[in-house]
Amino acid sequence: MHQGVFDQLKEEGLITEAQSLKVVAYHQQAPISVHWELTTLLSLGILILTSGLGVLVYKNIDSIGHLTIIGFTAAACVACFVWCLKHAQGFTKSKVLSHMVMYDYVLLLGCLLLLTLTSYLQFQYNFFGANWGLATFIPMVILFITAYYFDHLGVLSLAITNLATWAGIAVAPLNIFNGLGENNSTIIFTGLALGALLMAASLTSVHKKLKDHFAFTYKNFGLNILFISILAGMFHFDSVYALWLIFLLPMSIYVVQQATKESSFYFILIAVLYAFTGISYVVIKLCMLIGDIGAFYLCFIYFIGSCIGLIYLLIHFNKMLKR
Amino acid sequence: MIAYNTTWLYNKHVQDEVSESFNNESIDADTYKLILATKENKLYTPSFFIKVGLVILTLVGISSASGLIGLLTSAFDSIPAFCIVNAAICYAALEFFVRTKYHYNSGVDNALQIAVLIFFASSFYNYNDLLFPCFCLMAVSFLLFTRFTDAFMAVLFFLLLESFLFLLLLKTGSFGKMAAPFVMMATSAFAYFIVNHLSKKKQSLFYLFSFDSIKVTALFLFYAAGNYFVVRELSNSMFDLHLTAKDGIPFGWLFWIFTVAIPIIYIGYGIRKRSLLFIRTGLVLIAVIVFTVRSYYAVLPIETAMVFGGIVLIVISYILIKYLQTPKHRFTFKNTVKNKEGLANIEALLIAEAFGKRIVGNNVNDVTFGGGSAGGAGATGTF
Repeated sequence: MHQGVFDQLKEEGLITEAQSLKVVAYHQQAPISVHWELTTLLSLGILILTSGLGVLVYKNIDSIGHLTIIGFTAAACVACFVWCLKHAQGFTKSKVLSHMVMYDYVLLLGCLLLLTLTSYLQFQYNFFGANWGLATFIPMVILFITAYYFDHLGVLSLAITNLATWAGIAVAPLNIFNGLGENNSTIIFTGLALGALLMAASLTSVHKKLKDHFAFTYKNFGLNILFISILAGMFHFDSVYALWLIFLLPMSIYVVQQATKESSFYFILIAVLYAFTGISYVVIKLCMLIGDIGAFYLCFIYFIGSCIGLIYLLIHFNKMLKR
Repeated sequence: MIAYNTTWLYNKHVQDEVSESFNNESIDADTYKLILATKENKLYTPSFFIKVGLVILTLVGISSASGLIGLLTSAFDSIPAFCIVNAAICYAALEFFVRTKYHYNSGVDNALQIAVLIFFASSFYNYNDLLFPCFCLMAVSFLLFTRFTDAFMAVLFFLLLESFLFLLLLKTGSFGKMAAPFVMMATSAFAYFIVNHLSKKKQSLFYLFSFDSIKVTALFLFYAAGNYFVVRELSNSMFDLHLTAKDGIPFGWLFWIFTVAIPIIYIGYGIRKRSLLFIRTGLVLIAVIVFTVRSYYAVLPIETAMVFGGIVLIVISYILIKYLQTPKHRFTFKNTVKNKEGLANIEALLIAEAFGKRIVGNNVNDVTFGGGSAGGAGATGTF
């Protein structure tokens, strides 16, 4: 805080002496929040611990010590869930408002330990039989139930990633392209179906008022998977690439319309950028039909024009939503 | 000197300060609204995601424009000249957007500043000696930083200044090489104190964020210059020492002291002075201590170390969270940031990003052991 700013305001008569003193007092006395720092440390601890355990289990699988490790993991996992059950407020359809601070993190730790445990059981004892789909399906169901019962957005994200894994796509938000990069057409169609399913889940949570604060997470995963699947389809099916615009354009327009209603800059941005990527791909492909240096001229002119246009479009949206 | 209307800049600053005071309830709503209405400005700063979009689009636009210019004028024959022309065009565009459209940290102006610097740097592509280009880039980033009050340019300027000093030192021969870590530490500390002093002046109101950014960078650089790993590996590769794994370096013990002590001092100082800047920097550097020590003395296998490290982290943060439930020593665990909804969503994404990959990893394992159940080809159906 700069003292001078408030002195000036006082001189101009915009704030009173008392208010100015209050501001100064706040800056000199109010406690500083280290919420972000401590929760980050805690999450980091959970991440490091569970990753370490995951590796430890696999590395010691033939030694005598591994039962101890498994025993420790199982006990910790059970302890986490029991603790959460004891402190949970029970299932409600809306958002649970007064969580305890530790609650979210204990639950997260429990879920991650559970994942380590299930993959160990499957690896060592073939616990879920020869059906490998089951090995991801059961943790997924448990994660979804946990997310809804205990009202936890992070566990919901884990459940969705697990759902995608079960469906055959390895997705982490930034990793989707790697999963789809194999150019496997079944994966593209699975992605489309999965994206549509998640979008439906997002809409249902809002309409049925069932955990409507989950809608963003569903929508975020759903939209990204859908858009990327469409783009992957465009790049993969070479002969009919332009046809994919039939899906891409209406969807982008719909997303932008919805986002304008909800004042969500994030969804406007991703819809515009995905649509831009798709259209640019088609334009470049069409330009390349010319086959000489003129193609480059056309492409460059297209990019300059479209970028300027989109910049004005984004600025326009920003002004519209700020009102 | 500053490209913007300084009254607007001042008003914007007032608005920011007053918003903060309104959020922590030192100022009532009526006063807040009155001040916002009186202290208006026309500076254009969009919301974060729009800004990201504008940066991407501007960079794509700039590269196509330079490509078109290159084709039209066949300027690729002389690349330095071509780059300088492009830098000049970008600068003209930057001035245009700032002067007539009042873009202030809008993404467009940030991207254009970066483009000016990149084009300018590319014009030196066939220089063998780094000293002169480094000096020129330093000058350009200084001009951009002071004219557009841009924090990124400020950090770049500081880093280029330090690199320039480092390159100068190397020219002085063996003594310079020996003294390099100490000189870098001294100059970083010096820069920190100068900037810290400057930011208390009334005239530097518009540069506060830039100065804070330089301060953080200086703290990191001060540590890096004294870090055992950095000093040993840098001198090994730059001065052709051919150190083997067992070899130490001169004054090794001193660098070990720096490596371990500096982060702890940062955190201690941060706690004493209630400075989150120091605390956060110190916390990040604690991780660097662990990394440095493990590079030379790996006592435990990595996974065991991770298990114990994780438990220690959880226990420490748990104790601190419990301890700070009620504010103590002017620190509190209470979250004072508004807009918790947005933060929760971001946190959920981060969890999926950090932990999601492991699920994927396990699945990949499953697939391999499943004899290609995903690919299908040649799967025997037995495991």
